[in-house]
Amino acid sequence: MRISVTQERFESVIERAFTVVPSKTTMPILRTVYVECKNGELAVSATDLELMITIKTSADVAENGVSVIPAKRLYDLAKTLQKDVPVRLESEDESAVIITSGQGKFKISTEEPSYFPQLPMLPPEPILRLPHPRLKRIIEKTLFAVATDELRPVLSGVLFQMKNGMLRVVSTDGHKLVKWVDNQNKYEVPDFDWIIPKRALEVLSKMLDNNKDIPPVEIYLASQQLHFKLDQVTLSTRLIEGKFPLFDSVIPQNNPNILIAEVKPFLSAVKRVSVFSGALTKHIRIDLKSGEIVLSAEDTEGTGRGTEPLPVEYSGEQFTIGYNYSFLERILNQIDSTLVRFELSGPSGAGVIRPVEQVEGEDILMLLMPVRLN
Amino acid sequence: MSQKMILHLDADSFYVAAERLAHPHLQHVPLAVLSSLDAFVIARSYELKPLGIKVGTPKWEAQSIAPNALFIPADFSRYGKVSRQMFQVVRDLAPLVEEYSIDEAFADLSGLDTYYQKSASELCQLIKDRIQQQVGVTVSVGLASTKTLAKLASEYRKPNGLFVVTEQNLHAFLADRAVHEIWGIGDKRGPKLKEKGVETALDFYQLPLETVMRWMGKHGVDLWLELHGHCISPVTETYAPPKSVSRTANFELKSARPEVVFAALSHHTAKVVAILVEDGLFTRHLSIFLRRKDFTFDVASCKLPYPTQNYQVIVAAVRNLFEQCFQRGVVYRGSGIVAAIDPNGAFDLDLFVEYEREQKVANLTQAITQLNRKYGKGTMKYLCTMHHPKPKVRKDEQRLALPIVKAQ
Repeated sequence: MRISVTQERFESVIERAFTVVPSKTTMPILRTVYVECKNGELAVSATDLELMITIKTSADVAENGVSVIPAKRLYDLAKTLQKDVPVRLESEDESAVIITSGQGKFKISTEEPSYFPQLPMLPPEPILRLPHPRLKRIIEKTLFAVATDELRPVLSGVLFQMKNGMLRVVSTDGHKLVKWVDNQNKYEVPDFDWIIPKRALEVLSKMLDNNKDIPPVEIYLASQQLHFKLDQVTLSTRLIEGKFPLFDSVIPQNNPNILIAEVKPFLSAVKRVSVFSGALTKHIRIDLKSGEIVLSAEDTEGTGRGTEPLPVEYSGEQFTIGYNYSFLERILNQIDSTLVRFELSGPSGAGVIRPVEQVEGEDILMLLMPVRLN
Repeated sequence: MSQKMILHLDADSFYVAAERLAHPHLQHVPLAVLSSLDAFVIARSYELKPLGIKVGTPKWEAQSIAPNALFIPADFSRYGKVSRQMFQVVRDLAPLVEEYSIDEAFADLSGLDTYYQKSASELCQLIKDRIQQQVGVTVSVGLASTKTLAKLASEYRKPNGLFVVTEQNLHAFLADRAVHEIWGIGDKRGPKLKEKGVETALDFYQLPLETVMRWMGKHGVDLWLELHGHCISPVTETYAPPKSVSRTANFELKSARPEVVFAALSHHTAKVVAILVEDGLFTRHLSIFLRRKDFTFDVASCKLPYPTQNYQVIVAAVRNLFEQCFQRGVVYRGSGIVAAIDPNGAFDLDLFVEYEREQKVANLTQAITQLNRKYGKGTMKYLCTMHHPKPKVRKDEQRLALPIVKAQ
C-alpha cells in the first residue's frame, strides 16, 4: 500500500471512523481501523460489531493495499498533523505502516487484516431512497423518545414502518411516544418493519446534510443488516429483533379536553417551575381550567415551591395532571409551530400532543403519559 | 410553654399481656415470649425483668435464669388484633392518632378538653380505663406539650401509670430521668453525654443551645427544643411509605429441592404483594436471597419493566431471579425477598401497561388477603406455593404445654 492524501481529508475520514470504534471492548481487533486503498480512493472502516462504518475519500494511490491500524494512535496522530501538508501512508512490511507528513515520520504496528470483521456486501439495488434532509428530520424528530434502558430491547430503537406505500416512523420509551408520518409521498416498496438502534441513527444523523440537491441516501437490506449508503459513507447496522408494541392501539382518538398554548412561554414556565421539582422524581403539576393553567412544583423535602399561571385556550373539565417535566420539555422542544395542542382524557390517561400547524409533507403526533400523583 | 397536649401511650409488656388476655390462667405465671424459631426472648413479664432477662436474651440462658418461667412462641397475628383494638379506643376519642409501633401511639388531645368538657389528664385516664375495660390490657400514658416529653412521661410510672408533665413539675421530672432515657438519645449517645457530665434529662435541658448544636447538631437541637416545650415533631397521621417491603424466614426443614425452595420464595412473594396492594405501594426493584446451610447467601436482583404491585409480574420476575441464583446440590435453610419502594410514591405511567388489568389483579390479591384474614391463613393461596409446608398450627395446648380441660 502506498498513497498520498491531503491532511484535511485524512483527518476527516479518520475522525468520522473513530466515532464507531468502541472505547471498551474485550476484542483488541475492534480497537483498529481497516484502511484500504484502491482505484484512487482511501477507504477507512471501523466497527463495534453492532455498527460498521466505511468512509471513502479520493487519494493518489500509487499502490493498492490494505492495512489494519490501531485506531486511537492513528486518530491522535491525524488530529495533530501539519495542515496543508500531504500525508503519505506506506506499508513497511506486513506488520507496520509508515505515515509521513512534512519532516515527520511515524511508524505504527499493524494487525493481520484477516482478523478484522468482514466488510458488508451490498445488494445490487436499494430498497428505499430518502433525501438527506427528510431522513435527518425524521431522526431529529424521533430520537428523543427512544428508551434509554435495556429492559424492553425493542424500545431501544426507532421503528421505520412501511405499510401500503406509507412511511411511518415511531419511537417510544413507554412514557412518551412520537409518530412521524410522511403524508406526501407514496413509496412503491414492499412493506417492512425495521427497528433501527438509536446509536446507528445518532451516527447517521451526523453524516447527513440539509442540502436537498445531493443524491438521496440509499438504504439496503441484507441478512438482518441495514445499510445506509451516502455519497462517501456507508453505515451498516444490525436491526433490533422483536415486535414493536402496537402503538396505534394506545393513541387515544377522542380526548375531550383541549388545551392550546404558545410553545415558548409554556416551555419557559415549565423550566422555571421545574427548578422546584424533586431531583429524582422530576414531577410538576398542572391545574387546568378555562383560560388558564397553573404550573406548580414542590420538592419532597418541602424546602421550596414554584407556581406560575399561564394564559392558554382551554376547553374541558377542570382537573390536575402531573408530568415528568423533563419529558414535557422534550416534547415541547419538538414543536416547530408557535402553538401546541394538547388533547387530554384526564389525570391518568395518555395526552395527544401536536403542533397546531404541521410542516408540509409530514404529520407529527406525540403522546405523553402523566405521572401517577400521590 | 405552648398549649399543645400530646398523649403517648405504651402498652405494658404488650406481648405478654396479649397472651394473658387469651389465657387468663397465666395471669400470675412468669412468662416470656420467644422470637421465630424460638431462639430469643422478645418480651417478658414484669416478674422476669428484675432477674436480668432482657429482650434478646437467648432462650437457653433465660431458662437457666428462670427455670420455672413459661417460654412460649410468639403469635403475631394475635398481637396485631389486640393492637388494632387498643388503637381504635384512642381513635374513638381523638381525631389525630399516630401509631408508632404495635404497642405505642401518640395522640393530639389539643382542644379536646373543651369538646369533651374534661381536662386533658381526665381524657388520658378515660382512654386508659377504656382500654383496660374494652381490650383487657393495661397501658402507661404520658401527657405533655411535645412528643419527646410525652414519651419520657409514659415510661415514668410504668406499669399502668399516668404522668402529666406540667410547667410546675417539669424540672423535678427531668431531674429524675437519666439522659439516655430521652427518646432519640438512647444507649448510643447517652454514654457520650455522661462523659461530658450530662447525667440527667434536666442536665441536658439546662445545656446552652449552642453547646447542644456543637455536640449533637440539628438532631440534638430538635430534642432540646422539644424538652423546652417547642413542638418540633407534631403528631401526624401522614403515612410515610417504607423504603422497601421484605419477607424472609428460615425453613422448618432444610432443603436442596428447587420446588421446595421456590415455593417458600413464592410464599414470601405473596405476602409482600399483599402488603404492596394493601398499602397502595408499587415496586420497581426486586432482590431475592437464598440462605445456604452454611449461612452464606446466593443473591440476585432485577429492575422490573414498570412500577407494579401485580403478583403475576412480580412472581415471574422472582422465578427468573431464582433460576439465576439457585445452585443445584446446595442445601438451603431459608429465603427472602425485598421489594424496593419509590420513596416518593409517584411515578411515570406507562403507555403499554394495561392499568385496568393491573387493578383487577390487585383486587384479586386484596380479596385473597381478606379471605385469609377472615377464614384463616392458607384458606386461599397461589398454586406455586403448594410445596411450601403449611405452617405448623401450634395449638394453644402445644404452645403452652398445658393440658386442656373442656367444659361440658
